[in-house]
Amino acid sequence: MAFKWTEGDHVTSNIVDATEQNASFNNLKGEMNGGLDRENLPNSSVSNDELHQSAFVKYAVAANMRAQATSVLDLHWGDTAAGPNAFQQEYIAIDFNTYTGGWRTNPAYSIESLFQEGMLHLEFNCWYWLSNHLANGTIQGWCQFQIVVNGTPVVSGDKQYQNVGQSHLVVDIPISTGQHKVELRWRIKPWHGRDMTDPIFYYDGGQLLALNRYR
Amino acid sequence: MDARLKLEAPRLGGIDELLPQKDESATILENFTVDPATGGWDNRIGYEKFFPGALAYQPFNLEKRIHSLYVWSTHNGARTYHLFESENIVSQRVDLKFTVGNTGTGGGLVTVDAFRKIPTLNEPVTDYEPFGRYLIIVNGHDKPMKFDGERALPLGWETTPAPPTPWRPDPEDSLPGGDAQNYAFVDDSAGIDSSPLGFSQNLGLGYQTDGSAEVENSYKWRVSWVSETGSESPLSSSSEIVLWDTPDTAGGTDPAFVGKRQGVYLEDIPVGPPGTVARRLYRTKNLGKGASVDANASYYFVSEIKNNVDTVYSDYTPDQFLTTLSPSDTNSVAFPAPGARFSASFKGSLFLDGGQSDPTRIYYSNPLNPDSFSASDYFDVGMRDGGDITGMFSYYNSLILFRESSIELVRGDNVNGFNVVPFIQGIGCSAVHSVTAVPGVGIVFLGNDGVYRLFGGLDGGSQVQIEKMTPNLVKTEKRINKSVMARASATYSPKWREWHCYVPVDGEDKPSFGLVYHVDKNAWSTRVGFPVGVIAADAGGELIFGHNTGKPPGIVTDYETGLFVISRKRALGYTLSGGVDPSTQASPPPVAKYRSKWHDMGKAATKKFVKYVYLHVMTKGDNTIPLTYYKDFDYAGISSTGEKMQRADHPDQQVFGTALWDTAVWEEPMFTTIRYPIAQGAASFFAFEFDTQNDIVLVGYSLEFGANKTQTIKGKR
Amino acid sequence: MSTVNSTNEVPGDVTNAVSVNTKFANVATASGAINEENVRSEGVDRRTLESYTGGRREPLVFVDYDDRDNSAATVHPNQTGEGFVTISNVLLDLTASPLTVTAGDLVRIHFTAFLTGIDDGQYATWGAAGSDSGGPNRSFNPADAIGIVFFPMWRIANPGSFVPLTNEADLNTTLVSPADIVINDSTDKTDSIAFCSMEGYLDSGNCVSAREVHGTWNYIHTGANVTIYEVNLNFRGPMVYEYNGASRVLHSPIWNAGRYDITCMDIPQSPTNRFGITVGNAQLSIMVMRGDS
Repeated sequence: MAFKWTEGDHVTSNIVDATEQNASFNNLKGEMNGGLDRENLPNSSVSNDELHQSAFVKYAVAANMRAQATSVLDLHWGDTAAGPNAFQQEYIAIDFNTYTGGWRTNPAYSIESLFQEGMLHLEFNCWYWLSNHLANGTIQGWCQFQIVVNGTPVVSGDKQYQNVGQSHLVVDIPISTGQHKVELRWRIKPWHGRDMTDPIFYYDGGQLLALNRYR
Repeated sequence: MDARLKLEAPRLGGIDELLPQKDESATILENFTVDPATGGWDNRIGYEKFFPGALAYQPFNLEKRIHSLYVWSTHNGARTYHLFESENIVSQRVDLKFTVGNTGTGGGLVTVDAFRKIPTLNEPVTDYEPFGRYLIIVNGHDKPMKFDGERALPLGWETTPAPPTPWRPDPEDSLPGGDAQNYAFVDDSAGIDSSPLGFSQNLGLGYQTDGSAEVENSYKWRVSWVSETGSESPLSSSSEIVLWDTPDTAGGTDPAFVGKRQGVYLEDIPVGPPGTVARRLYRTKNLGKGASVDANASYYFVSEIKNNVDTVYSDYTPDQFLTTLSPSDTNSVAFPAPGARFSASFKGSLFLDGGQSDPTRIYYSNPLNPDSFSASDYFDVGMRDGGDITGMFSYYNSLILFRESSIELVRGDNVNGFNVVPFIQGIGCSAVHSVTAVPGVGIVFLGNDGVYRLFGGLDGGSQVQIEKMTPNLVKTEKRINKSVMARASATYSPKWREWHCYVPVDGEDKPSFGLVYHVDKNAWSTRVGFPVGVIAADAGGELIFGHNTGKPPGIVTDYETGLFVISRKRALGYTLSGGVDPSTQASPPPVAKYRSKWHDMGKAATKKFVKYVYLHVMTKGDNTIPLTYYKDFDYAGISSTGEKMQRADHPDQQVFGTALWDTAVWEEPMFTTIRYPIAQGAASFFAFEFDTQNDIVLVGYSLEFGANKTQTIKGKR
Repeated sequence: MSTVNSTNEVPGDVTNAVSVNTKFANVATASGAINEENVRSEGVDRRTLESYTGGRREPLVFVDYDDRDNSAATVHPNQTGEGFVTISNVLLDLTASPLTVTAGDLVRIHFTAFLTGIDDGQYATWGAAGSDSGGPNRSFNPADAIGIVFFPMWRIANPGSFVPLTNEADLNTTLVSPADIVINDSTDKTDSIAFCSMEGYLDSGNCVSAREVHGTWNYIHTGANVTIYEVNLNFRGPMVYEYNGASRVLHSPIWNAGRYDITCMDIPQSPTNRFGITVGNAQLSIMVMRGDS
């Protein structure tokens, strides 16, 4: 309630009325004590100097996100001159010995924080490597990422088929006040005939950003 | 002669124009309010500028008459919009604006919609109705709109979307051009794993074959818009049909394309009007060939395009994913009431009248969606006598439909359906902006022959009743200019506990006369001299009004314009002075006039000799109140000297102008009686009157009189 | 004090000018300190917030972007991954008004880059010539982790040169193949890179990738202030993600040698051992925010 008008008008030769005086003064006093709003405050008057840095948003970043449960694994290449397994190379990656299919939530990286009611802007970005083909044209692998909030997926990338690439996920969700957990999960095409010890998939350089815009 | 006869009127009532008048009533009661401390009549009122500290009438610079006014509060009062329509001096049209309290250089105005039609003198002005987080604004001429505090958007769907344009696939890549022309999808045949084991996901449109024979495919699409309220527009007509054959191995078709499904590229996805946030795409399942191509097909939901920008879409959703049928064509139609004059929110639906071109029809929206209307959601009240619809008001568990000479009620809900039941014939209301809900009283409105109240309900054993509130204001009712009743404006103020209704009287074209109902006293008084064109109460009960005349073009002095507030300021408006840099001077207070009833002391035929009038007042100070007294309905009375509103037999209370700080004490009004000597001969009927611009709180009065056996002489021939 | 405390005048008490003056002075004082004590809930809204005309604006401190506009795609011949290329016509130049980042600020750098293609028409990540060429020994060759690495750098000294972002790997190192850029979890991270596959289809002797990648870098600054003068976008490659026995690395191999030799994967297709990389449009943006963290 911003607008206040005359509650008591003091007129010459009227008694020095304490009741009228109190009503006039207290009308304005009441407005000062917790009633000021945008009708009282000048337009464009609240600037950086008045705003606390935490007035609008809260953010959290989980950086350096990468695949867990990895191991040092070999890939081999055959050569027309030297024969099969002529070349090998080690990778830090996962193999089908440890991955049996389905969604895997990254156990080491997440954001768990007290958010305020409003909107939660989530971004995830990482690079990945997927051993997606064999030269004989069989086996087309894919990978997929999702962001999960309190166990529920809120955004999903589509399946990605290239040997290396980026996953970039962005979503805005309404969020209630309270502790919330934001996690990443991924999956790849389940076992499709590759050697169980071949490195198949790895992701690194991942960052999860949670930006809470207060209502 | 016994001088000790006394007539006491300890507690005063309101106006009574019927003869004989009720005890303690008044003949004239102008410009009074009720003193909350004593219940007496208090004349400490006036009006002041909406922006009291402004230079002249800033920011109201171009305003002539204010035609409509509405105070809309959201966010528990943190955002309050004082919306008004003012006639623009320059443009000869009306602008819809709201006030801004502090622009940094004083008050300001923001225009919501300009160049609106000026209402004629006898038609109702713009109607405002809150609906959810919007304010619905209709006036019967300009496009109905919804206002959310930031933008004004059109209400409803004016048009139907246009259908999209599908591109026919080239399944065999047979057309010229360097790059591949088709949009084939790999199927799940042996050796090519495109899905995790166990999935039968198989993207694309069209029949998938083993390539031994061609099969024909055909599809059609429709599209709809979705507004930010969640309302879905009517569906577009069907797109043109897209036909292609799933190729076989014959004719040297590339084996990669044999038997494959296709994606279809759609363009010309229509962009919706302002306020649209998404488009929904619907499609038939494969209509194959022959008779099924022309058959009425069912459309299914494909996808929602979550923006209002994209004009293209690639559809590769296979038929087996289409499970949700599209809404029927009758679920949402083009906005049926572009000429709506009145709106009301009832049971989650928005009700609109059909406008001047369709004056007996009422349309209602789909539940919670003010923009979407089904084809059959309306009723026609024209089948019964009662005239055109003149207003709507939601009350308790019914929607009241006011008509020219009857009142009807809309009952029911969206689940079981709405129906119209007649309530009363013979009483109507043309003054839709006088309809107000008054706590403890009911719905109060200015009917065609007086003020009525509707109260009660139709459920739980209750009963809807109607009662005339002004049976005693016969003379005043006759002054009302019935031709322009639609311009009467009323509101209830919980702060003043009064219902104010301003009406045009004496043939005038604009409201200028106020009828005030005082809830606590169940009494009526009048307001004279307040230039109220339209009035509204804000959340705190402050009475805000728009000037009924405003700034005439070419006049630079002696005008008032803009919004004002009825308050305790002891001034009746302002005069303007100063030429180039005008400033306003407060005018003197309003003249408060009280004329008592005509007293016959119980026996009209006997002559009485009134000796004294005692006014029971609260002390106010040294400003005097003179009295005039009348006998036997004479036009002219006798004036007495003014008396101070101080206790007669005690030292005067300290007053402003003579009291000294640190010497005088704070005072408070004290109850006292002021005696006025009356020098009047014999009278059958006696009345007294005072009209004053000084402050007075009149609690009651008493008369001291004598009587002898003198009687009225016989009548004249 | 932002609220007004006062007592009513009492009838019968002497009118005290000092008392009344104090009451009004109290109002003046409170009106000079408008804060949460006198402003109602939801009392400050968009109208009362100052419009953004430049400079800091909570929570948005700064935002700027650039793109390559209508520049034609640029061809970068003889690329091996040993050096890097700064993509032309996309630069955030804040020199005229350098941006100071303080502790607690969130820096968000986003970029997109479009890889038009490479000049190795028969390129395939498992090796050229498919499964049957040269016999069955190559038919089970797997796809390798080859791609172009796009990455931003910034200049935070004046005068100074562009350096990798805070705690990012030494992506601007000049290598002599075979050599590695080491990746670790502390000071040599790869959060800011976008790893772009060169897989594509054969067209007029080139491998058309036609692929856009999106890289981001989010950083909540700690410690002393940092001043940003310029931000640019770069690429190097092709590079290979590997493990060198001690660390994860981005490796710059000798192309057409080892497993990339003509008898194995033949990358790039002989006789050349370097790549012509064509880069199309690119966008680069920076946003600095201030809030709770």
